[in-house]
Amino acid sequence: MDRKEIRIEVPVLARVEGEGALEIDIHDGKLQNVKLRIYEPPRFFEKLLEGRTYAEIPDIVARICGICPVAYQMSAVHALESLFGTKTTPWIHALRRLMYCGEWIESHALHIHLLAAPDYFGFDNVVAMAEKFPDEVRRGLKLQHLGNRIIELIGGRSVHPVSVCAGGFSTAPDLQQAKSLLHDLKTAVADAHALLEWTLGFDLANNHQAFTCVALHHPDEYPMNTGRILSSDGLDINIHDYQQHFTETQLPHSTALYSHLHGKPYLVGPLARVNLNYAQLPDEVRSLLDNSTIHFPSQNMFHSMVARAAEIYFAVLEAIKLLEQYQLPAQPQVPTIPKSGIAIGCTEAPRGILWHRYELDDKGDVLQATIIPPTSQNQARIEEDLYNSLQQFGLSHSDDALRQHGEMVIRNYDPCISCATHFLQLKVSRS
Amino acid sequence: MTHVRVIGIGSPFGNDQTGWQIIEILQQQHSCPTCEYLKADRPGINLLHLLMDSDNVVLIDAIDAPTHAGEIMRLSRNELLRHSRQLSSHDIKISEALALGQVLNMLPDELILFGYCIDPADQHPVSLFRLELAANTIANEISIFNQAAILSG
Repeated sequence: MDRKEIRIEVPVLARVEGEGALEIDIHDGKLQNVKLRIYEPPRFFEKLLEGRTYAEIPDIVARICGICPVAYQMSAVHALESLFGTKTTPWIHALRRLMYCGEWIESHALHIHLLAAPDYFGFDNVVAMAEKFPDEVRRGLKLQHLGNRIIELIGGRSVHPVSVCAGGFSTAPDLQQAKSLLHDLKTAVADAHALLEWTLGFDLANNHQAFTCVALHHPDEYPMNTGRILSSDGLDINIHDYQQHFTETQLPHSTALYSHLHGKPYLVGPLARVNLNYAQLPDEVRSLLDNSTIHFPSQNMFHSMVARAAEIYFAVLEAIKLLEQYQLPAQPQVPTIPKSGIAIGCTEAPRGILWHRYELDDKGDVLQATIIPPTSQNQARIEEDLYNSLQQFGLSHSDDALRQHGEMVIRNYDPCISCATHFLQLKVSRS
Repeated sequence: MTHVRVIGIGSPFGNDQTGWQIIEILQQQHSCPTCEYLKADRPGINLLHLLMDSDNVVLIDAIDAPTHAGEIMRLSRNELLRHSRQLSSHDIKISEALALGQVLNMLPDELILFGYCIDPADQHPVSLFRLELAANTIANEISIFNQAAILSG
């Protein structure tokens, strides 16, 4: 069939978090235009933070997302402690790492079982998939629940936890509850192993592209809360230098800003992390990956599901290691003394690096806030991927097939569009 | 021996606390020795884990129903399942979680939901009088449910 002009519009993207749409223009068999439209209304969190005291920041930013509240709290408190010169204890570092394990487990498990795996098998949703794969879905729910229990143990509740603060935690988790969770995590090792094996057995699409990966890197541990920012192109910078290399622009078709590294799109998230930190994964995880047909570093976004499963396995093992060492501390929190200046923090949210910058006055009140979530950082990369993927897939496919393929490409990134808070500069006059 | 698990579902925000508030009143004023009372904060898919190991479960939640504000709706398991829609990991409601639970055979034999109808546009908190009235109605229903649970062993 001869098709000169084709326009495909997906007005609402299914199985992504938040509101987004896709526009594709094909002219004379050539792809002219690909736009990922984010039309989620801006939520103005950065403006809401202005005038707030530093102690309120963790509770406010946690509400940016119900799936990854820990990430927002962590980037925030690390930023504040960095400016205030607060020296936290190894106990606090370990507990924050444990809490991040919980978030990675629950977020990744939800994504794999509710979004990615149904996509792969061609089911409309997880309920349909559960009819064919009940054991696998039950296993996924069990892992997701464990992740939530970790967050609840430390944070008081799994949605918008309440114990994280600058200087540490407001309370220490109960020792008995920690032991009970440790027992359940140990029984989940087999589940995490089986999940990774399951995803490694998928016949994933062969879609290799050239792209730059960006992630934190730490010499001693798989990165979560601390590290330098690395790229697969050789970037190696302190998190404070982020804005010297990464730029944001706003395009008319999106309410979320686009990020570029030295003018180019880049990838953040589990695949970028695994690609840049493979050697830091535990032996149990690497041995499964090494014996598979997938080789890391991978330039195939369809391998993101495997990267997530690998990180779930890692996080279960890491959580066990941390809980085995858990003791009640003398104090769960060290004192913080606010001071004026620029506070910068960057941690690895489930979907990639989450960078915070706060300007504070001498009381520790927020003068200005900048929050750059991973989803908006991936937006340029998603559009680039769509352009390449659709070309590779073949533009002669039916509109429905193109639409489905485009949606699958987007869902590889697990975009959390609701978190893309970062928007235009605003001037507000207060009297 | 616990025969009925009563779960109040809600969140800390406004009248979404109604399920929790009714649970508190039930515990204080209508406590039944063979009932177990729990509060769940936006459980999402984790609701399925709260239903485990119990054959008889009562859920209490606020329902968005402005034209019936103040009324109690009783929904059976089948009625709840009829209202499910496509799952999103950021927005898993009770009916969606139950739909998945049914396929996975994770639902209790007996399950009912009592929904206290609220008007989300009405920011005034539900009065204690109305909450106690609701709790009284629900307590009577739970009593009947509990008796049936005991008889069925």
